[in-house]
Amino acid sequence: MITEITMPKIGYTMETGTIVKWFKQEGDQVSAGEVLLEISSDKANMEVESPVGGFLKKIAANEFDEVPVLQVIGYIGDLDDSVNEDGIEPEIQQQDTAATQTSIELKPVVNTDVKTARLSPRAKKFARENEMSAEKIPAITGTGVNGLIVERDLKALRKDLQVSEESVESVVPVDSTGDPDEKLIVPSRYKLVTAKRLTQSIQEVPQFTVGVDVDTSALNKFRGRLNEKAGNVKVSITTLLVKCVAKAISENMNVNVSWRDGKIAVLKNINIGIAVAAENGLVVPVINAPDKKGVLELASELKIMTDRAKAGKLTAEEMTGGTFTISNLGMFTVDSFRAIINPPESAILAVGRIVKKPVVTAEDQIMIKPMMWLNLTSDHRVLDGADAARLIESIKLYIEFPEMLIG
Amino acid sequence: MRNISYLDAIKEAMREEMLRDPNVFLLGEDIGRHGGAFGVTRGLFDQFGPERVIDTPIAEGTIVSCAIGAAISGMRPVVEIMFIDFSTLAMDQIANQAAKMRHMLGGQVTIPMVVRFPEGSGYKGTAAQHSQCLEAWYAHIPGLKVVLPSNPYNAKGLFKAAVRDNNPVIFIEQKSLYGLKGPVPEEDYIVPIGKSQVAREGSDVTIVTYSYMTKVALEMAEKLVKENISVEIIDLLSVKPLDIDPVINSVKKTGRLVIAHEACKTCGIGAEISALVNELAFEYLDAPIQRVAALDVPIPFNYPEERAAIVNEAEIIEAVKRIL
Repeated sequence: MITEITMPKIGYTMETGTIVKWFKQEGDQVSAGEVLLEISSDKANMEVESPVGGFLKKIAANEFDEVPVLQVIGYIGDLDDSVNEDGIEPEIQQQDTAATQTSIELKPVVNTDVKTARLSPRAKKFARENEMSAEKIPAITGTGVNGLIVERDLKALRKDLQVSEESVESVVPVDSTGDPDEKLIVPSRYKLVTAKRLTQSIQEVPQFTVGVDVDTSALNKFRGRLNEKAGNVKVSITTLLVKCVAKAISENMNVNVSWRDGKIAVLKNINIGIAVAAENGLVVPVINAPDKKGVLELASELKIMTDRAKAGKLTAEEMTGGTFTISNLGMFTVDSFRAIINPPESAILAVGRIVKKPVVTAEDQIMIKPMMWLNLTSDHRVLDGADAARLIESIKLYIEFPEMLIG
Repeated sequence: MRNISYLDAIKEAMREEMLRDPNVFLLGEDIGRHGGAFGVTRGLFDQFGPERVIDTPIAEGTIVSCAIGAAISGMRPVVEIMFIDFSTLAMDQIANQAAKMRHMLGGQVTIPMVVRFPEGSGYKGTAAQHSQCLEAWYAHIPGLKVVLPSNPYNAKGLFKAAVRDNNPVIFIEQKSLYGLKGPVPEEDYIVPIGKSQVAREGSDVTIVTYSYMTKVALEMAEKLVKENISVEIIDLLSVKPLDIDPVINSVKKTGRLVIAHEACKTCGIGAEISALVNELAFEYLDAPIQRVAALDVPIPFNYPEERAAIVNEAEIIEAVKRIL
């Protein structure tokens, strides 16, 4: 009898999984419960064991293939079973296949044990507060009463998880045709998510960019004066940019929209994402309603969010719901760049460094001014050039006249 | 500060309250000339005379009835019932009259009465009718306050608080504690009714207990230190009204709870604590709550059997280790 092996669905949000490694080759004998392959979801890597004993007749998805959940990835059968290209035994194709062919949804090893993970109430609380999702907690025998998993078990497990998350970018052997000096890496989930979204953005979103050089002398002075009085909170240029952009959007609410399957969603709230380079890759924490918050409040919120982002501690909620993103590379030697829209947002602002330049003033004088390039990239399905131009003009106004922020 | 016994601390509290307030008087069986079955009132008859230290007939219902009448009339009676086991004979007076009268009469009367009950094991061979721990009975009656001091200091302070309270207070003394010595201030102080206390700070397991078992738990805690186990001990002091906050705070810290009492297990105070922690701190629990209590049996006359029926230190240690 042939048994289909399918990509397991681990966790509610999992849509696809990537085959990291098959531990068995076609023709190999496997026993029920033996580890068959390793897969990677957008959250973690895990080993998958065989639901039945028999022979691995066919591998239907190769290493590095990304496969939708529940799709068949292999077949296990008896020694004399044969499998054609479609995976079906030819001689039984005419028969009632349901009777002879069983499709079994694999569960990851960590959960295939008869028991599921039993956590003490306190351990559950700890898991929730430390964002240890259920699929990360194996059905181990805990050190609590009757094998209950207790808080200390999760503390120990979390240490292991942190190590394994860091090492998610595992090096895998190259195939024989490759350059022996090359190596292939299975990317971290952050990198995979970024890759997927940005590829989708470039493929699906018609993007155009408008740019302007803005004078930051007033903003710098404004920031200096704020920081003199602000106490422990340090107001960064990024904080002020968030405020300026939020103010500008609030006056140009026609840009606060999103293309959704052929329709335009008109959004009520302004939520601004900040691109942060974390160790594991790019993450975008979202600041909700910055138009309604004070600059000092924004400064401390942004500090907390970027710290959490860098520590890899952001929750999914903290990274969703953005309507606009700011990407600031001003801390590097970058004068100007164009960013890629973070779907389903309608625009993204790319911020270059502040650099002193000779500028011709309105009075035809040449003056040295600290200038900063802004490039606003927009989704042309929802915004036209004039919309983008009005928005960037408005942003420029707030940067050059920051006292308008209190208006 | 001088050290005096639990018995002397209660006696001193009675004396001081009688000197402070002429309305305070004592009544009970053999408490006058004889000085009480356990000697708690010894010397007070000589000091205050037969009108304020009244020897009564052997009739518990009558004693409490008289006290209720006196309390309604503005006196502050302190009743001694020789053993809590005998309180059954005064149960109607306590549960149906004293506890309810103030409420049924819309506050026209108050019953500022203290009823002292010695309870528990400890006197070899006092058997089933002289060894019970019945605090849960009284804690179940709305209108009563129930306190159980665990050392000389809180015995004196709680007694004074009980005498000054305008409601009937059941003051339960553990017979084995009478000889326990400890520091007691000579000046006036009270230990408030309805406040539990952290008797010892610790981090691994919370032990909630009261009365004699507090002493047992404190001694046990010292031994567990040598095994690197740190227990926090909450002494309830009052089981009605019950101050659960220190218990909840402690469980939030340790995640583990053992409740120890000398009364039998079924429907004991431990069941109430367990239920409250479940309601208020469920998600902080890292292990099932353990109750260490006496067997649900009449206390045997035979001494080894008596020891087996009630709680000992080893059982608490076992419970602590079971959930660690």
